[in-house]
Amino acid sequence: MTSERRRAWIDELEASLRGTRRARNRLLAELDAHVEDAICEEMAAGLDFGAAERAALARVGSVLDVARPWNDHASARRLAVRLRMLAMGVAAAAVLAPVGLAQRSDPAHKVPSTPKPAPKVVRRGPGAVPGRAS
Amino acid sequence: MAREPFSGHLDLLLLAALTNEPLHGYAIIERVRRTSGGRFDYPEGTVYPALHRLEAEGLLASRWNGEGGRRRRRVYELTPKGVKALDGRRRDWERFSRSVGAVLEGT
Repeated sequence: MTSERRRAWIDELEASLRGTRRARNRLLAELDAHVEDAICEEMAAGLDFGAAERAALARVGSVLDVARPWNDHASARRLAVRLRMLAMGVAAAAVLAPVGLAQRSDPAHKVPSTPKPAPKVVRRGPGAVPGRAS
Repeated sequence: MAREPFSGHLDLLLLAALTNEPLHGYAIIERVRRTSGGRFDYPEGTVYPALHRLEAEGLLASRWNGEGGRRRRRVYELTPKGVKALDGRRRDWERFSRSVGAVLEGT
């Protein structure tokens, strides 16, 4: 059973989280199960459902308590991925740049200049040969 | 005895709680609370981002269990890298604790 209070907490947390949808969904599923367990424990200790749910949510903490460390980690991971891509780009450039320079300085690899198009021969009549009297 | 925040030692406590067997988040928190005599006071939800982070670092592995009518829970366990990390952090902690103890005894 999911009450409005619990749903609202989960929804607010969902809206506050960064990272991939898969990772966020997993975290939300785990926290929802955790709240469920905590409610059961509080009810077993003698509280009614409403009080047990309030106690369970208080134990889990505020949305900010959970979202802050999560988002810090998500940002750090994103930065790490970007730095790795940048490093790969720099490494690729370091490997390819000398090859390109060598090709440009080697005469054997010079790009041939574009040949001039052959001049058009204009025939004035059928079978006519330029410069020959008929 | 006052309850204390444990943010600085969270990773060590989580890894240590998983020493003997795989556990889900709720059980990990229960174990830390029980073995510390309720000493550490923290919002329970903060444990999950830490578990995800430790898994991303390769120190923990996890899987869903509880199929077949039981409630599904994500169960965490130490990886070989996690066991090694726990040993290292335990040694660091013991060294730190001994050093502080020596200073306190000397004053």
